Amino acid sequence: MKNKHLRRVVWITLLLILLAGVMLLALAVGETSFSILELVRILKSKSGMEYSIVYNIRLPRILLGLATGGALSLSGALLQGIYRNPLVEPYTLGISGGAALGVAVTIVFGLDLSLGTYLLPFSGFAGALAVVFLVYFLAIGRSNFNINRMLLIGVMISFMASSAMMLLMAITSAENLHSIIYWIMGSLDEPDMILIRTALISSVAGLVISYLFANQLNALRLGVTRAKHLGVNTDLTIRILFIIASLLTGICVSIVGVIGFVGLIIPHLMRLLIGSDYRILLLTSFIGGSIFVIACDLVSRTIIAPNELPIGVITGMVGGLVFIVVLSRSKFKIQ
Amino acid sequence: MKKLILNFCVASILLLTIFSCNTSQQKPAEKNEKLRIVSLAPSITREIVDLGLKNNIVGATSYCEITKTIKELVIGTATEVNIEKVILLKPDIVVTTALTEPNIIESLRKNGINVYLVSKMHSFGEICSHFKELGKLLDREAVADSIIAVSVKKIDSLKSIIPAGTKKKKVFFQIGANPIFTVIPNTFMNDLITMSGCENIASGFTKGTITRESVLQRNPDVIFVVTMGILGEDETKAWQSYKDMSATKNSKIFVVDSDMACTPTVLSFTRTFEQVVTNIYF
Amino acid sequence: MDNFILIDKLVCGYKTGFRLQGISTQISRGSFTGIVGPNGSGKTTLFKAITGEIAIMSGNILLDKHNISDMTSKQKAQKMAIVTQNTEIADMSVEDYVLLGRMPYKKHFQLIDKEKDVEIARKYMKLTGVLKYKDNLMNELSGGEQQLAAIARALTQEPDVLLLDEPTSFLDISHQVQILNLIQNLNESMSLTVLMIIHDLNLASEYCDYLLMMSNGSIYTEGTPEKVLNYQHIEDVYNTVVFTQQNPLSKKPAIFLVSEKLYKSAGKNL
Repeated sequence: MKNKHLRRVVWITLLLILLAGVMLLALAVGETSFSILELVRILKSKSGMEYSIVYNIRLPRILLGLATGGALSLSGALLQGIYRNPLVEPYTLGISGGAALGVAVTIVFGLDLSLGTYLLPFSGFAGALAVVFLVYFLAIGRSNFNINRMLLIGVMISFMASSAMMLLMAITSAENLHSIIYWIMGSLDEPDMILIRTALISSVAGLVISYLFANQLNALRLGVTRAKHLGVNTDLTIRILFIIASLLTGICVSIVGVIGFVGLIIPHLMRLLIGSDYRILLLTSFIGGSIFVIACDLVSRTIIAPNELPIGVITGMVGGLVFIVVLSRSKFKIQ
Repeated sequence: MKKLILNFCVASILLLTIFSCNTSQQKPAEKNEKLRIVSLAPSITREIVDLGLKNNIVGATSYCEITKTIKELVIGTATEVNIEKVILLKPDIVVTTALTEPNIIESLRKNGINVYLVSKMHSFGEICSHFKELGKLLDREAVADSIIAVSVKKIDSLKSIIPAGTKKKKVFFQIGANPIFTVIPNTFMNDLITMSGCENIASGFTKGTITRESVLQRNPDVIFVVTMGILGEDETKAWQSYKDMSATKNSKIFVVDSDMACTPTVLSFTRTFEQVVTNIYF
Repeated sequence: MDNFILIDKLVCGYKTGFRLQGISTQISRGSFTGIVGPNGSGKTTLFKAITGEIAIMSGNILLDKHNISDMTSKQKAQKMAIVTQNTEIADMSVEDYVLLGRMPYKKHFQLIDKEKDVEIARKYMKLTGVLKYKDNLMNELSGGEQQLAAIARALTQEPDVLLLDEPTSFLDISHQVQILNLIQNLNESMSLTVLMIIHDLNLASEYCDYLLMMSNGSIYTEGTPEKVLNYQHIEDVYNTVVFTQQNPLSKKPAIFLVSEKLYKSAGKNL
């Protein structure tokens, strides 16, 4: 027992150190890079262009990456726990489809709700919520719901949202098309601090609340029936966790667009490296996701500087590669 | 007496026939002078109107200003063209830009339609020479020449009021948001900057995308943001949040109407240039 | 005969139409009761009603005078534990698996396993003989060992009642005997009330002190193995010819199946 605890503490410490390291690196590196000493000097000066770059541009991106990477990973872990399906991730459920559709509708119909910067995040979130409600009431509303039914409905809605979006994209102007596609591909370039703070607070809150259900999630690994036999209120647990995961995903997608793969890969990677016990998996997924997204963002804004690649491209390619490498080196079990 | 009346009638009928033939011959002559023009680009339509040929336009795109009031003229969008409709209009000339797909142009030409293709204009000079060519084509060369002359004079006078001896200002001209797009060299909009005696911060760029960090790092003295509808309103606010940037410190962040600034016509360029110079120096 | 478990005119079932037709019976505390009957007679349905997996349509089930419909999942899990035919396993160690038995006693933010919980788990792992595998993964164990681990997990819930649904069906005879011996020991030493669905009538006869024979959704007969397991009852319920005799060692009824060939040749003598 002691060994297991020690091992977990060591891993978490390592992850936290890695997170700090990646954040520091992301602060220092960019189109112009600074050394650590220079970085300290710049931060102390509190004025000047270099300070603006580090404090007003890079730092918000890093914080946003931390929040969204953590939240998306956490959602993935929660959903994989509820559905007991390794292919489930926040986007399989149609949440991102709904968000993208919401944004597309706003752009194509030129809706101006006097929300300024918050227009697109608002429409994205509204779209995501609409999908969540739909899935919830179609599948969970009844007292004896079927998990697989929920998954199917989510996938179906995802496809429908995609089709609706393609319809909109086919009839709209080139510049609208460009905007929609750019939004879909994801970007951490969001200067509004209120949105960033929302992301940070909600992702951390999500993590804390999820921990209330860590034990139940472990019991659910044996299946819904067994978990019930062990005294778990599976209905309540699944509903609450579904809502948490959906909200976290909705918030992330509406602020940064669709950054795929994080919710799928990071939890599996953490399972392989550290273990499937949810008491540790929730935290490791969160930190792992943060590290991953911050690192990918760093690559996306430096690899073709002064231009920027959409972060979704990097997460997809790097994530996929890393995963295949780790996978081929170990026995794979997901439950 | 009967024979006289009959002869008179025959003579009158013959005379009338001769005269009516003459008048009907005149009608085709008038038709030839009324040019039927179809424009496949808003900037072209604007230029045709500038040349005084508004009534000769028989077809235009849904983005052209003229179709806002005369909806029947619509024959397509900026990129898509209803070929059948264009053919049925029997235009004398179709003027288009590189925005239209080559196969549409091919299609039109195969159907015997005269298509005049305007290539991309990379400078104000090219805008002027193109305008002159268009004028020649539409038999309004003199009008074109005079418009060009007036505009060049206006531009020269604006150039002359630029304070001498000032250090070259760095200008960032934003033409897109999400992702951020900047004006790059070898485009006509770049002339707005260089002719104002300033330097484009994207002077080494070949592609138009740029990151916020890159802009900040180059510390522009003046920023122009074109109107971009709901998406661009907050770009100005965003730039203003960087308090240490030169443009923010000197309150030199301006909004420019995108229709005026981004349309490659002599008159709109001149108007834009006037705003640019005024904003930068005064 | 106390009514530790009282089932009173229980009606429950599925949308397909199959119902338990108002079953009433009593189970004594500390008894080792076997439930036998052909496939589809309602044995598992009865279990599902007791654990709360299916809803009770009418009637009551009372555990130690408390109506189970009034109990929360957690309370039920503290009172009864169930082991099924096939162990649902996951990618976890045997110790972690057995520790899940302490779920009904865990508080919300209790993320670290208490010393007491670990002790209890290890005690039962030792009892069932799987302590030596505590750090192995569940899927590294054989079927029989997994079943033993499942029993350890059930015991770790420290229930008053242990429900077993055909715990030996997929096991070889050595494991069958091992597990049933273990259960019998627990039943006697811990006064653990055991309710076991079992197909093998001989094993039922040997180990159970009370039997419920079910047929078509109701209890056909109940009582000691001697009373229940005669050829008349078995033929009626199972619709198959058997030959019963007393086991010379244990004095319990032993059931012999009769093949068609045997029946044809020795039919009149049965």
